[in-house]
Amino acid sequence: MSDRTVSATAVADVTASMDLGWQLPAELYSDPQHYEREREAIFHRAWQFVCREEELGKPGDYVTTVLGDVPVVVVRDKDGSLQAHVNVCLHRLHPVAEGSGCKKILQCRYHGWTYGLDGSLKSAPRSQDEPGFDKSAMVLQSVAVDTLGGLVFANPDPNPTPLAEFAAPAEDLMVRHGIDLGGWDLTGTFTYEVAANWKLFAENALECYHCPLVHNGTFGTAFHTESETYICDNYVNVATQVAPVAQAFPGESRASDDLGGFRMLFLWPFTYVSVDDYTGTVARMQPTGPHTCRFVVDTFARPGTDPKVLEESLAMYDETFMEDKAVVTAQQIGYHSGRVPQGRLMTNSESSIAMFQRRTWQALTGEAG
Amino acid sequence: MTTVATISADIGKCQGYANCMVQAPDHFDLDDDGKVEIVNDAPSDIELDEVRAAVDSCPVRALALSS
Repeated sequence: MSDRTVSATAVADVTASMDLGWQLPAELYSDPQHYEREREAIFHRAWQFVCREEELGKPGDYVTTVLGDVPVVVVRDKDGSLQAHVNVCLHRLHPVAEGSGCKKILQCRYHGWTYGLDGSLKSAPRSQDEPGFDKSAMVLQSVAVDTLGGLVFANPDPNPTPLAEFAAPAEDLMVRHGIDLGGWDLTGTFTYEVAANWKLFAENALECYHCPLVHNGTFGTAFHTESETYICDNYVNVATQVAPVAQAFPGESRASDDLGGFRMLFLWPFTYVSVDDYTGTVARMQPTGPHTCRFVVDTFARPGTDPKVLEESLAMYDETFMEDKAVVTAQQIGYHSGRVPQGRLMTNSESSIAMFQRRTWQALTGEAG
Repeated sequence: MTTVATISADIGKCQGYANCMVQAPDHFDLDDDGKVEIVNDAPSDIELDEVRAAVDSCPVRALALSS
């Protein structure tokens, strides 16, 4: 198979090749038309992380985010329910909310159209002079919203597969691996603008085959990354990665065997939730074009963590992500070259990439992959 | 806590910009017609700056604060 040169245009051919350990066709990582298909089939139909439930604790609390490429506002309504809307005014398509905070209403700052927390239009200046203007028919586009393990997720598709069904068995896995960010302190957000297709960065975060080489001195020093110790498990839309501590940070008085190590849960296609003994992260991919993406990482501190250890831990993750950004950016050139139609996967060490690619291929074609 | 001022609104002028609600949500609301509704017309001393900012932010000058 080493001389394989697949044209990768026939769906059945690609599906069969993936069963044999070949990867998604390289053209899917740079082709603008394909990117448009992904917007419809994946970005606009996937459950994606928004925030922790405690960030929306009281009526009026709101958070804005981007789901794939869809701007969204999620708000705690007066009755205590969570509401999610496309964050786009029905007038001139300006955002109706920015950042996060607590408000009784969502006011577009452009012309002052004002919506209730339920998305209904409450007022529009000069609308009484506008013939045929029916305020009651104007409601912000709806977005599905639900919670899982203390985290709020939303889906641009207003009628998706329920989150609990889509993400099964994520809730059980989060309990089993102690992935619970409730009560942890939000310490900040890392944002990385990456000159590569979103799938490359997403896949990179799903294997640690590269860790001994790329992250020697960072993640690969902090945690065991050998194939026997870095354990990956895969489900339909979920994957987990678990790794024991290899070298404790200076200042850690406990023995490495007494530490819980790295535990991460991935929810296809964009969301990664991880904890270790000091730091928690919720990372998500935001595609920004066929050749570009954004990687956004909220970071959290486990209660009681020594500030110096936390600082070292956060620096380790930041450096690790920068190392990932470098290799993924270099990959994009190879994917765009058109000279290697399909890469060969290491299906043992990269089983979660296989899961990711199968699921992505299924979303695009209906084929199981 | 001494009340020093009273808020009033000219409903005929109000266009429903809702700047007042954004500035001072405890004192202003919108009614079903999208017009301003004063829910508390007597700001306390510590609320006065916020309410004055809300009154001043009205694009059509439908609000007033009298002492």
